[in-house]
Amino acid sequence: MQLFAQGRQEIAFKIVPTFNARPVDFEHTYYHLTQSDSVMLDVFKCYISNLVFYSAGRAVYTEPNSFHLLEAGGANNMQFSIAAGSRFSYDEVGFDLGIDSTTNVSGTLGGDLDPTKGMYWSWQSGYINLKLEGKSNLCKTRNHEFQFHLGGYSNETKAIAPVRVKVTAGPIVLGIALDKFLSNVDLATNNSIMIPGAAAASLAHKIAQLIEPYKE
Amino acid sequence: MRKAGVISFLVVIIGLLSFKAKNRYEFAVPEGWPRPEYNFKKNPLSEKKIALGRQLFYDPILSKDSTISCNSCHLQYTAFTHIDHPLSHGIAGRIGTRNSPALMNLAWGKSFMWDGAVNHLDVQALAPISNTLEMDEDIANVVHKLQRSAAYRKQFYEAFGDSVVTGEHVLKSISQFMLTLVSANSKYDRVKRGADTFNSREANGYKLFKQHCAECHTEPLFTNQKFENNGLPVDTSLNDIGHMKISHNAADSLKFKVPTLRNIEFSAPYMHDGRFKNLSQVINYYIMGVQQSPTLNPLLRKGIYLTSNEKVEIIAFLLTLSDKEFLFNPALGFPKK
Ligand code: HEC
Ligand code: HEC
Repeated sequence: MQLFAQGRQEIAFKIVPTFNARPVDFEHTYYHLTQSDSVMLDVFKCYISNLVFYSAGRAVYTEPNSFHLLEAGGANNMQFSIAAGSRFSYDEVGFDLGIDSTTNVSGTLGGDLDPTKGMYWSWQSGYINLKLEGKSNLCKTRNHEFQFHLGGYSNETKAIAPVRVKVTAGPIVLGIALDKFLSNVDLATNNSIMIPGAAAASLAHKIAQLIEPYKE
Repeated sequence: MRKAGVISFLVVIIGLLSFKAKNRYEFAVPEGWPRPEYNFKKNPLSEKKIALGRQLFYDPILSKDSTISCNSCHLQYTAFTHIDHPLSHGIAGRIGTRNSPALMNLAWGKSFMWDGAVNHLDVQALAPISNTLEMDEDIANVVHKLQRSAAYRKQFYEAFGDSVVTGEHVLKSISQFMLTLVSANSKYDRVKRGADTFNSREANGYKLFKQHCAECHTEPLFTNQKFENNGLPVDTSLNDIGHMKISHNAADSLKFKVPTLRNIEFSAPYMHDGRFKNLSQVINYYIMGVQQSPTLNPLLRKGIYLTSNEKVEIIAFLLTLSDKEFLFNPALGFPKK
C-alpha cells in the first residue's frame, strides 16, 4: 500500500470568497459595506494557473498544463485537486490569478480553457481572468447591478497577477476577502468594467493581494 | 491457410494506412511565399475536419434564429465578402459597423479584423457568433444545438474521434476550412511563374504599383500585415478609430489593417466602411482625397500623382490579381449533401 502510494500525492486546493471573514453566501445575503449601503454577490469566477509548490523558497513541484477555472456555486465550487506524480513537502504555493500572454495568443483550447466556459471575450481576443458580479444600492445602474470582468494580456493592459502564499502541509485553503476589495472601489462611480485596460489591470492586482491562508 | 491469413492482415494494414493518408490534408505553400503564420502542428489539417468546418461555415445553425451563416456575409463568388453592402447585414436585418473583408490566405494572417481585435484565426468565429448585430448567439448554445443533431454528432466523431461537441472542436474545424481558402493562381501568379505574360498596360501598371502601393500592399500577399493610416477622412457617423481601440495607443489612431488586393475586382465595396463602390473611385481617392493627419503614413503625405492613362494601367494590373479558380472552386462552395 505504502509502496504504491510513494510516487504520488493528491493535494486538495480551495479558494473561499469571504465577507467579514466568513464564506460569502452568494445570491442570498445582503451585506453592509458601510452602515447605510447593502451589497449582494451573485457571480465569482476566476482562473488559477501555473501552480508551483515551494519548500524553503525552492520550487519542488510545478503542475503541468496548469489551468483551473474556479466558480463559486458552479461545477467545482472553487475547489480542485492536484494529482502530483511525486511526493514532496511544501511550505508555500505560487500561482497566477489569470491566464498568461502566451496562452492568450494560442488560439482555441479545450478543457477549462474552452470558450464555452464564458470566460473568453468574443469581440476582442483574450481570456477574462476574473468575473465578480452583484447588486448594490450604491449603483445607479439597471437593477443596481455591478460587474467586473477583469482581463487583458498585452503589456499595457496586463491583468494577470502573481500570488505567493505561505501554507502548511495538507489541503490548501485560501481566502479572498471580497469585502476589502469592494470597500476600496467606489461602486457609485466604478461599477462596470468589461474591457481590458489600465482600470481592469489595477483591480486585478488589488484583488490578487487579498488572497491569504484561510481557516475554515 | 497461413499465407491467406498474412495476406488479409496486410490488406487490412494497407487499407488503414491509405485511409489515414487519404484523411490527411497537405497544406501547400505556393512557391516563393513566406511561411504561414498559422501553427498547423496544433491543429493538423484533415479532410474530415475541413469538411466539418465547411459544413459549419455554411450552416445558419450558428446564429440565434438560424437565419444567418458565415456565408451570408462571406460569399465565395465575391472572394468571401458581402457584395453591395458597405456595412454588413446580420440577424433580423441589423446593420453592423464595418464592411466584411474578403477572406483568403488566412494562414498567413498575423491578426484579424480591420482593427486587429482578434489575435488568432481559431478564435475569430467567436466574434460574429456573439455579435448582437451579426449572429447574436452564444458559443455554449451553438455547442448545445450541434450536440442535439445526430448528423453533427456523427461528423464530430469522424473528425475528432469524439461525438461530444466542444467549443474547441467547433472553432478548430471552422479554422480548418478557412485555412483552405488559398488564392494563388491569378494571372499575376502565372506571370511570376513564367507561365503567362502581362500586356503592356498591365506591365506599366505593375511598375506604378510597385512605386506607389507595394510598400503597404506588399507582394505576394498584397498586404504588409501592418496597421496603417491611408488618409481616409473620418466618417463621423461611425467615428471608427481603428487599431487604437485595441492597442490603447494614440499613435495607432485611424490605422486599419492593410487589406489584401487579391481578387479586388470582385470584393467591392472598398475600405473598412465600404465607402468606395469601384476601383476607379479608390484610385481617384489616393490621388485627390487623402487627408493629412498626425498618423498618416509618410508615403502618402506628398500625394500620389497619376495621369489618367496611368490610372487605367494601375487598374489593369489590379485586375490581374483575380483568381477564377479560387472563386469557382467547388471544394470551397456550399457543401452538397
Ligand atoms: C453579419 C455579417 C457577418 C457574419 C454573419 C460573419 N462575418 Fe466575418 N466579418 C464580418 C465583418 C463586418 C468583419 C470585419 C469586422 C471588423 O473588422 O470589426 C468580418 C471579419 C471576418 C474575418 C477576419 C478577416 C481578416 O482578414 O481580418 C474572418 C476570418 C471572418 N470574418 C470569418 C467569419 C466566420 C467564420 C463567420 C461565421 C462563424 C463569419 N465571419 C460571420 C461580417 C460577418
Ligand atoms: C500607407 C499604406 C498604403 C499605401 C501606400 C496604399 N494603401 Fe491601399 N490601403 C491601405 C489601407 C490601410 C487600407 C484600408 C483602409 C481602411 O479601410 O481604413 C487600404 C485599402 C485599399 C483598397 C481597398 C481594399 C478593400 O478590400 O477594401 C484598395 C483597392 C487599395 N487600398 C489600393 C491601393 C492602391 C492602388 C495603392 C497605390 C496607388 C494603395 N492602395 C496605396 C494602405 C495603403
